[in-house]
Amino acid sequence: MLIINNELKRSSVSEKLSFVISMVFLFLLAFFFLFPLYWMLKGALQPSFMAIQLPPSFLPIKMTFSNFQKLFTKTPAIRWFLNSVIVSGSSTLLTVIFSSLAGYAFGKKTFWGKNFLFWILLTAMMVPKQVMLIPLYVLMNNYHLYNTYPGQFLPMVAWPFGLFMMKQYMQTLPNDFLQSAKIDGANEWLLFWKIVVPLSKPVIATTAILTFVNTWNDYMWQLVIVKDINMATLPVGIAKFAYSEMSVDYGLLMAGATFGAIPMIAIFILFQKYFVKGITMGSIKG
Amino acid sequence: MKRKTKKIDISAYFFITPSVVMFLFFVLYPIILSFIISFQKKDLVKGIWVGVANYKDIFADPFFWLALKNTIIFVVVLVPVLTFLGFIAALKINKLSSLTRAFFRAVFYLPVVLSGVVISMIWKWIFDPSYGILNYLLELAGMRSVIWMASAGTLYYLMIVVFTFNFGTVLIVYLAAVAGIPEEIIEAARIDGAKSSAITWKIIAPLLKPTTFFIMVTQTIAVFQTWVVIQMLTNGGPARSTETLVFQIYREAFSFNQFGRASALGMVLLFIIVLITLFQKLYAGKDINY
Repeated sequence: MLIINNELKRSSVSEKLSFVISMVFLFLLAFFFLFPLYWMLKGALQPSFMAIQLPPSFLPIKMTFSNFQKLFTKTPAIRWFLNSVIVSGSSTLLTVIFSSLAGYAFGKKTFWGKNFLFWILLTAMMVPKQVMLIPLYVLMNNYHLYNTYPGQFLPMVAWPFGLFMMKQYMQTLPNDFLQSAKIDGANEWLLFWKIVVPLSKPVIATTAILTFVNTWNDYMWQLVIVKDINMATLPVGIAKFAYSEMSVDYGLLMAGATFGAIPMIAIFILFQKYFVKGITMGSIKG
Repeated sequence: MKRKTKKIDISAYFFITPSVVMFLFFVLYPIILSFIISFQKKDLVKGIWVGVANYKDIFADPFFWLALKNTIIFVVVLVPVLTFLGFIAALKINKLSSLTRAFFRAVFYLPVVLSGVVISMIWKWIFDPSYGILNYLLELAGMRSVIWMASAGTLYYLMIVVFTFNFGTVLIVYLAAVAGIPEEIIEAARIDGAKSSAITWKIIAPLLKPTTFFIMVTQTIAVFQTWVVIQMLTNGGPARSTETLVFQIYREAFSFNQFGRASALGMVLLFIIVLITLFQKLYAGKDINY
């Protein structure tokens, strides 16, 4: 704020010019990011023959929901959506429970093997997920979890990202506060639910939202673990459908993309600050 | 008080058990197994020990070296562009009112939360040789149309999509770092008569060096793992020219059932990522100067 005030006070010609150049730069960059989304919406809401019409119309004329009708009758898109809700929801719920429990222990308790265990967890997070793809696929087949919901979400829950976030936050909770509750006779379990969890709401919300979005957007593992198209999550279902047709129906494709994008756009608009918090927490390690 | 916090707490094991069990089953065991499988000729049913044959095959395969080269080109081109534009954009956005700042932050971060599938599908249409908007604009300008996803430059065109995908994260990290610079430092420099370009490059850039380093390392790792965009837009083509390391892992395993060879590729990928991370640890240890 201070800077912008000074900028205006000092408004010499060259400074005004540099401000204009900055804005042009930012708006051009923004246009480059927004245009594909606009193009997706426009393609989805126009009759599909217009998607391959030349010259293309840049404005949305002849609006229609026919592409969406086609999407919902030709594909089990609603089922894919529900699959995504189940898989992402389960993954989020379990991640939040497990990682808040463990995050509290790693952040606040002293126990034998703690540092060694935490080191292993942190080191494993360095391993690219593609390395685990094949053994996980073999294991899931052995456990008879191939093509099942647990097979789809368990590897997401096991990833120690949530635990790391929780530990980072919970280790900053005031010790005195926890001690006095203990002295007042609260047992471990009560202490956790009545004091640690309420105090940790911001990190729980951040972890929940990031886990939900990461699972929803996960593509590689979901593609591998699912055989039956009725078990597919939304991104996998839409992608498989898009490539199963001989000629590409871009109108229908854009309807599918829009249907896949809307839940994430909604979550992003509602919970924007948590994304920022999550990224900055990950980048500034104590 | 001190004594009590130091006390070993048996209940801790109860708290960590669910997470640790999940981790052992679905993270640690698979990592170890991946290492073992890389020495086998393996499919879903059986595995035969073949020693280092998979590694020998990989290193003798020109397409492996092409994929490695492609991956490195991705990193060498994209990471500096992402870092430079992220830095410049963060400085400019930081000077705006909070509402405009929120607008730009949302716009640039939006592709990150959208699935790679969604973004790739839109670009598939934009790049379409006959019905895509890019070729329409080229022809309008009197230029010849390009078969974007099957030409000599395809690898570079793919980077446009990967760029939109990674830029938001870079920007947000830089914005947080820029907001952390005390305004007095910049004000003092102004009073001393420093030009704004000097403030940017002589004061802000050196102050943000640790952030820049962090961004370059994490983005190198992220770009190394680019996959969805390639899978959706070119499927590695034309003539396998846009394959990357991760793309080959997936293809060897799930198109050709070569689990052993795919695992060996995974180990090569892991080795490279570990090298980058070690480099970060060594270098960052020496150079933190907040």
